[in-house]
Amino acid sequence: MSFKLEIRLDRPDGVYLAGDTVSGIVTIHDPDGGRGKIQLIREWRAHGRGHGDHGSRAEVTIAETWGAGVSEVPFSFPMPDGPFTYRGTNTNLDWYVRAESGGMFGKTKAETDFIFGAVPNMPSVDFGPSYSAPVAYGKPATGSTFGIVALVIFLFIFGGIGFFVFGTAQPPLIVALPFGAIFLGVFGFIGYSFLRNNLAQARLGTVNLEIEPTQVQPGQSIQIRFSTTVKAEVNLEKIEVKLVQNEFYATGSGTNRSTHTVPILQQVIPVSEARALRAGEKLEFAVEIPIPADAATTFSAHDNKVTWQVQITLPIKGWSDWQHFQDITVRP
Amino acid sequence: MLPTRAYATLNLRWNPFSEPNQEERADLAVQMPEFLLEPKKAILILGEKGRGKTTHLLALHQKNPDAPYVHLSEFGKHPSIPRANIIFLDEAQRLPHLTRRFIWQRAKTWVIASHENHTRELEQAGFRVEILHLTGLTLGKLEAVIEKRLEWAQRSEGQIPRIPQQKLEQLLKQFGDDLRTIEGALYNMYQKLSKESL
Repeated sequence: MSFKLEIRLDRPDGVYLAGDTVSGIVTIHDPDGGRGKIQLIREWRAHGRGHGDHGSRAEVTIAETWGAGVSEVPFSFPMPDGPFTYRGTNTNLDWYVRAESGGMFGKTKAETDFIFGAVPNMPSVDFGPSYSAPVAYGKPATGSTFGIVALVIFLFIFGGIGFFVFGTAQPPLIVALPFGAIFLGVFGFIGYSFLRNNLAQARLGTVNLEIEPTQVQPGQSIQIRFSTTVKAEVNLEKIEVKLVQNEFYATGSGTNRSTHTVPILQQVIPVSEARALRAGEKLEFAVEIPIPADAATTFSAHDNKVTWQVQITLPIKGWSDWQHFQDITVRP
Repeated sequence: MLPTRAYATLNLRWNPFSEPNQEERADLAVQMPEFLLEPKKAILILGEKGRGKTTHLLALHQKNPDAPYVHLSEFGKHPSIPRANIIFLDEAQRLPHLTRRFIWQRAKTWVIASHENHTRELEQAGFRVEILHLTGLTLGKLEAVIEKRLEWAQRSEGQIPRIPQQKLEQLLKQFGDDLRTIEGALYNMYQKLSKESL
């Protein structure tokens, strides 16, 4: 018999819920007995197609000396308010208890995973280390913020034009032209993204939008109320509202880091067919979006996320579309 | 609703082709040749993207964990390269030629992963160069990689699902020696298996 560690959970099915304590027994097999540190670590790990994340680490020394043969050490860890076990396509979240002995035994390890589930109506939930609560629509950029954003965009666009027009004297044309074009393209796109809704509202009128609640439980619904008084004639294409669940993962590192956002679930709710609206006409709609009963809880770590979004798009023929993507938190 | 233990039904703890962390990645290297790290010697690991250069470098580094490991990013400021007896340098081709000539003097022994062959400049700097070319993934090596991955992900003793040899031959035909892309395809296969097993 050589030195070996084993972990056995008290619950054979390995299922624990918020408020439970994970407990079990670590068995130390050692023919000679010994001393050293045997650490027990409990943590979650997000794993999948991209880099892993880990957190909520709790660590305790369970033995410093033990006898020859087989020794059993009980352990218990109270569980936090999340995050919860998640089975996805590109990212997963699991909880583990790991026993590790260092020192003279080198790196002997034993590990077991368990399922950690939520209970309904938890007063507080841990959505992961990178989580921030969604910000509701309706807070237009203040004059100063908008001014700074506009100025930066203006400078970049004209910087690009400057390079295009005057910069060609120095570098060879074959270098300057594509560089200038890329510069203009990239910053032009960023600028358009910032200004798109302002452009759209120049014809569509000021949009009033309410999306409630932004934190929702599976089986509940989100209410959307949209209204505006059209400023100038617009030809609207088909309006749809989408509920999207995304998985986010990251690959590569440093400046080679790539992030991937993959839609896992997409629910499309048609709002209206294409139609023309004259200046002064009112455009209003209300939509109720049901959240699936088995919807996964929102989770956010540095390299792995499970997110929910309500996406509203008003496509305007021959003009800039109006769009709002509202982050939603799904909680137990 | 509680999530199901999808991988448990396959006797796995996770998808065997999930991205491992740095330490695990070093453990997953296969068919590692033995290198004697002596003063004035440089080991050069050469290969295209996705052929396992970093994995091999990390596996060698694991045997010399006190030596610095420096990874050079594609853009931006490079981390400083210290003076040390042995240095492990990843993506060496990202340093300008002149800078490289200057930094070779900072270590007595180099272990380098690169897309480019730096033999000439290393020899000019007084190093004896030993090269490991990572090209031409064979079916045998691919099977060894997969075996290591399955071992890494296996939950307990017993059967685990394996990809038929015919499918592996197909992947080799389709993606050549691009191991990273093959691993991506295998990730999808195990993901599908885990869903089907429910």
